[in-house]
Amino acid sequence: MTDPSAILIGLERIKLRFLSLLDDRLDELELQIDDIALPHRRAHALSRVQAEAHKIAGTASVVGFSELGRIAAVVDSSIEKMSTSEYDEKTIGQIQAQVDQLIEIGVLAIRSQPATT
Amino acid sequence: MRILAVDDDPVILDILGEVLGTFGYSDITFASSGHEGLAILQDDQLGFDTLLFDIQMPGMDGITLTKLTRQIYRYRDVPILMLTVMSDKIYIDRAFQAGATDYVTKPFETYELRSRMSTANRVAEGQKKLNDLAKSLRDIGQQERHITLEDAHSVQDIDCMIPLPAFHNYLKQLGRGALFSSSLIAFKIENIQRLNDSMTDFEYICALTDTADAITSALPFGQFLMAHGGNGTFICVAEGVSSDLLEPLPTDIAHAIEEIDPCYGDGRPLMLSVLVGEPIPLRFRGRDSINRAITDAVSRVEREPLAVASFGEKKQKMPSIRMSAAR
Repeated sequence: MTDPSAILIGLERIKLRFLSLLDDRLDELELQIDDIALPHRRAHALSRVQAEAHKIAGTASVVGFSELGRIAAVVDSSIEKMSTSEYDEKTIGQIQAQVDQLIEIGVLAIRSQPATT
Repeated sequence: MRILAVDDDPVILDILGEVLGTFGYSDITFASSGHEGLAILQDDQLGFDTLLFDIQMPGMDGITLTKLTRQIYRYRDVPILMLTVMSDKIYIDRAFQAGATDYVTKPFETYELRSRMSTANRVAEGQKKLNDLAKSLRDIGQQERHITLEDAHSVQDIDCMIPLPAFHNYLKQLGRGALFSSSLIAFKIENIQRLNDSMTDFEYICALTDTADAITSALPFGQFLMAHGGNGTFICVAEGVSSDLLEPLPTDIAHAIEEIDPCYGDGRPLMLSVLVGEPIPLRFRGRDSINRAITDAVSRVEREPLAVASFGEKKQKMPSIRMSAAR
């Protein structure tokens, strides 16, 4: 029988790596969020945001950040479902709000961890 | 057991290494892209026992990697588990069409991953035995029969045909996504017992392949997957099944059989008739609903086929179609 605590100890170590990468991913989201509103940069910005959200969604809850994973999955799914014809202001605004929320929850996740020396 | 894990997210590779290591799988090779994964598969001398592929990767995605992997002879039957955040049906469909054995949606439960790996390896072992047997059949005479009629022998090299265990996994995945727009339809080679008695194993496999080819080329559905379930019965899951689409199906299958022109090894024509069953809408209620739906579809095609698509005994120009409510 596998000891569940052995997995938890291992995942705790991976959590630190996740948070370190999360920092970079949030930087990328912040860089792209305004470009979503610019028609000539929108497609590229959405693609970049989706790629980052997709990765966060795939791992966040495994290392203990369920809410972060959930909102990342919402962003990933919203962009995936959106076709070019749906690039209206309302939809774009909704996605920007979701990305904002993702960044906010991501920052909280990073701050929740004790600083390592 | 040797495992190859391909994912462009280093955190996922870390998690896989940690979780699988804890479960006793210590021989794991990691690749961070589809191209790197493929190169490892092509160069490796020992061979891997299980492959874990992410779907969405820059450059070569996991679906393309699966297709290319299945073209490497050594990896025709090795279990491939797709690991992905995507739970949309279109990705699930493409993954199984490409040759995936199972599909685990990220973020995954660690114990679920282990359970899926064990199951995938168990069914792949059985599949490999059947396929190895099929390879040696050409030289075996009629007296020596190694394949029983009940074997769910997988049909190779026909688009949208997948092995039965993968078909079950696909249906389970649809159930998890609560997607209700699919139906099951069963097809059965008429008088399969008598036909099988008149054949060598090799001819039987060829007959299964020809029948699968005819059915899949006649099916009018935009999206479907099919598996051989044993006893000359084929089970198909399709989206958007309607009576309008089903009506010409027996005729189209008969035409497709005529075009294929199936025959025995000595050139004698092989008379194939295919029973077409009533579609069973998929409703995922209860733990055993998938098995019950499959059993129901198979039992209906055997007892009350909607139609029979036949290619006549005297090689007539046009196929004969019998429509009947009951036989």
